[in-house]
Amino acid sequence: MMTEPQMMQRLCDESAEFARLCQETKAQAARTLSKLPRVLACGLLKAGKSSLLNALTGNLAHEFFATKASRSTTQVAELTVAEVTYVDTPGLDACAADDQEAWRGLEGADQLLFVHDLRVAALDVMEAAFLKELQRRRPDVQRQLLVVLTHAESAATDVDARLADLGVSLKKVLGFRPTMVCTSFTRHRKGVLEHKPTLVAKSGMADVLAHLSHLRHQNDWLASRSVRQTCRQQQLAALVTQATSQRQHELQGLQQARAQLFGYLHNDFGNFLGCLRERLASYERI
Amino acid sequence: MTNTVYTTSIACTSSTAPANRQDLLNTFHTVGAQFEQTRANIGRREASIKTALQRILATSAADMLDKSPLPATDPLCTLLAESSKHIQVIVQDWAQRVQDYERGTAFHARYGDSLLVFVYGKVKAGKSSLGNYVAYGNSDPDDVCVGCATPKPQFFLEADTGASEAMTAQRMQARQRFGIGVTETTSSIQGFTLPGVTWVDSPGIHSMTPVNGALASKYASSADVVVFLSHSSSPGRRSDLEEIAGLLHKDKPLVVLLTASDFVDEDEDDNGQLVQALVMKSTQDRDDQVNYVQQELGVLAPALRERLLDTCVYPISVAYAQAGTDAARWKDSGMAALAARIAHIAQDQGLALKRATPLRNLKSFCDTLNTSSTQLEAQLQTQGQYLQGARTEMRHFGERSLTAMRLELTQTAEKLADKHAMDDVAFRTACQQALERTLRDHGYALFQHLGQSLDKAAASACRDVPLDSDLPGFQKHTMTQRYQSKRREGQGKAIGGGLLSLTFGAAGAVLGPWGAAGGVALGSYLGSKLGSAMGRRYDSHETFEINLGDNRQEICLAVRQAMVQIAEKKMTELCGQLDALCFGATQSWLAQCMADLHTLRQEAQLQSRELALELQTH
Repeated sequence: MMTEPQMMQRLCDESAEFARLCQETKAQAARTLSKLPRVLACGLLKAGKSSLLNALTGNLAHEFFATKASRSTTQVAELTVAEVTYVDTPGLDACAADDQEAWRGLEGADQLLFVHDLRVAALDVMEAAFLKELQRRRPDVQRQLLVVLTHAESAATDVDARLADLGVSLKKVLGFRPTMVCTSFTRHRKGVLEHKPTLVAKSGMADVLAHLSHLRHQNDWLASRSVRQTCRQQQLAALVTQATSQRQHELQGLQQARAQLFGYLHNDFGNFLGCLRERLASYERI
Repeated sequence: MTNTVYTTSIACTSSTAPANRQDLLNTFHTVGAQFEQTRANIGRREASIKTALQRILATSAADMLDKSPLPATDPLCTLLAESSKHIQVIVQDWAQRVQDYERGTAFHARYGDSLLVFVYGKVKAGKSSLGNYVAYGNSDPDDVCVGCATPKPQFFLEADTGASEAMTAQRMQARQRFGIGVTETTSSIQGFTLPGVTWVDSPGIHSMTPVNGALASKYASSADVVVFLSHSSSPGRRSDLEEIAGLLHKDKPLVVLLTASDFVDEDEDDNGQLVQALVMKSTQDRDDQVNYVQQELGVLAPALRERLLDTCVYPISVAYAQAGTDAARWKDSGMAALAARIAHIAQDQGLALKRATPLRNLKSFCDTLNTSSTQLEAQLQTQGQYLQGARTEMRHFGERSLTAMRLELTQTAEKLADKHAMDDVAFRTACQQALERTLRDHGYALFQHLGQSLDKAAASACRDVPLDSDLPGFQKHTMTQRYQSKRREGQGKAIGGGLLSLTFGAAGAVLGPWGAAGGVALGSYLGSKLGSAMGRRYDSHETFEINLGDNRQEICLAVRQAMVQIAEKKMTELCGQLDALCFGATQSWLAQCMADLHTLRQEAQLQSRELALELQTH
């Protein structure tokens, strides 16, 4: 007889989805005391997530979220500013471990900033796959998602064409066209540090903060958090039911096979007994 | 460290390089005969491998269940049909590879007099911009720029998916440049020729339009040199690194470019207006990116470390390069390093590459066949196991039937022996009928088990089961008893004793009383002996027979043994017939596939070994 932990482990081994939901449910349960909204930045490797969060949290002279020319963020990092917790995640499509860590970070997010580099206008297949999976895991993603386009300074001339193309691609993937905000970290940093209001105004950072605030007021993110937890529990229950019925099906197959073999044995033995009895009867007649 | 990689490459030019394009073309012409020889050699090898490949393609294309009478719902059919899907995927992949190989070979042959440079990479990595820049010195040339170009590149279209811009050969001829746009633009294999070089642009991989990427990857093998572009906004993405590792396996010169290694430096003027300047990323940032890509490639493909040493990674910016014509900008943009590398390859390795590319491509094709043949073998083995399982199941069914038949025949023989005791003819006829009935019933059940009906031949075999004529017939078991019906010995003994005792007593009386007594005694003794002997002559005896039963147990045993022997023989025959009927064709198909696969693998391994040796001489 399996113990409960053994059973859970076996279910986790058999279903990656079950393991994920278990982990998310546990993590969310541990986080219930935190009543601060969690704003998470996610996106491809070097899309500009850490820079964006540095800008949103005011870490310009000295960055809090580390950046460099190549891959830098490998762990989920978070910082709370003005009663909002900002969460940075490793870039997608760097390595499997980073992807896994990013998804781990995504578990408790209340608002999502999907960061895309505007220099590469087209949405690529990895981003599309990520967004689809995100939507699968969070059916209510539309109420939490804000698409932040970085490096707007490099696409000043044809930004509308790029936005239009991205909008079409995003709608194709998600089924809706999310709000998109163009940003430029370099404009913002230079503007703030050197007191240049035009640069600050055109950096788009204020727009991001405004959209986040609007989304928070428009949607009860705490209630959404609770709904997601309930949804996970329901999914877990459904997976357990599915695993149970699968086992029952397997058991039924084994029982049928056993019954068939017993049937053969019973039949053969019956024949043998019948033969023996007849023989005895014929001897008795003699 | 990284600077060393792309700065030392700049100096990688050969002193024996052709002085100009005409010199290069003359050299190509001189070695034309060698190309022809290589081509003939390749043709022989191709024919050899293709024969083996076509054989297995033809064998595996046949439906293994086509000749099987088993119903589609039979578990074996279900399993084999499922497994066949995997086989068809592998086989179709092979057929596709053959097509790709032939297309690539034809494409390469069309541009046999120039170095074929293939530009490959993610969507919006800057492939078409780089091509335009190489052709015209401008990433997005206008008509004036195109008209003034010297030498004038000749643009061509090789293939198009029509998924993005729907290019045609006529449009390409008229436009004479690659299309540039903010969205995914290129959907064709397109290119231009300049003296000594054929520059091929391809659609972006990993885009939302997978058909474009698929087309690009089909042509990558046909190149002499591959230039892989990765946008510097996200260098070293795993998907890029995996593509690069795949290209390294093709064993041909590879150059990796980190495009758009620049950034826009912005400020605001006194009027509050934005002013922009495009500058190259810092050397440190460029080094950092190059190092990261090389390091991650080493991690991803440790077996290819030696090939990685020959693979240069260059950060470049076409936009920065085209903004001016001074030497410093040319060098700082990274274009100088790239140009030096391409020139080095063209001048020092160009001829060898032209000859080696078909060999490499064929070797790569053989290696792929060899590797993927294990997948096909695994599938065939799985099918063999399914088939064996079904045959074992049928054999078990036959064995169970035989066990049941033994019991039935035993009981039947005993009943019939009781019923037809002492009537050999009736008994044998009944036994024969019982045996035929049992065989027919179990034969029918066996065939029905596999969804088959007992055909005429098999049914006839069940009827034609004569019992051995040497079997013993019924006999009664009796015992003969003899007994003495009259006994005279005693009477003779008494009479003889009496008479002789009187005779001898009277004679003895002459001698006195003792003589009389002695005479009586002697006479009595002799008389009894003589009388006994005489009386025995007149004893009489009689005999009688006791009926002990009959030999039906022996007959039962003998008949049962004979019937079981026949049943065993017939069931074995029926099982054999059924096995051949249901599984024979599939077994033959499997055996033929395995044999063809073995031949193909041997041929691929042989060709790969010989090609590797040949390539070493280049």
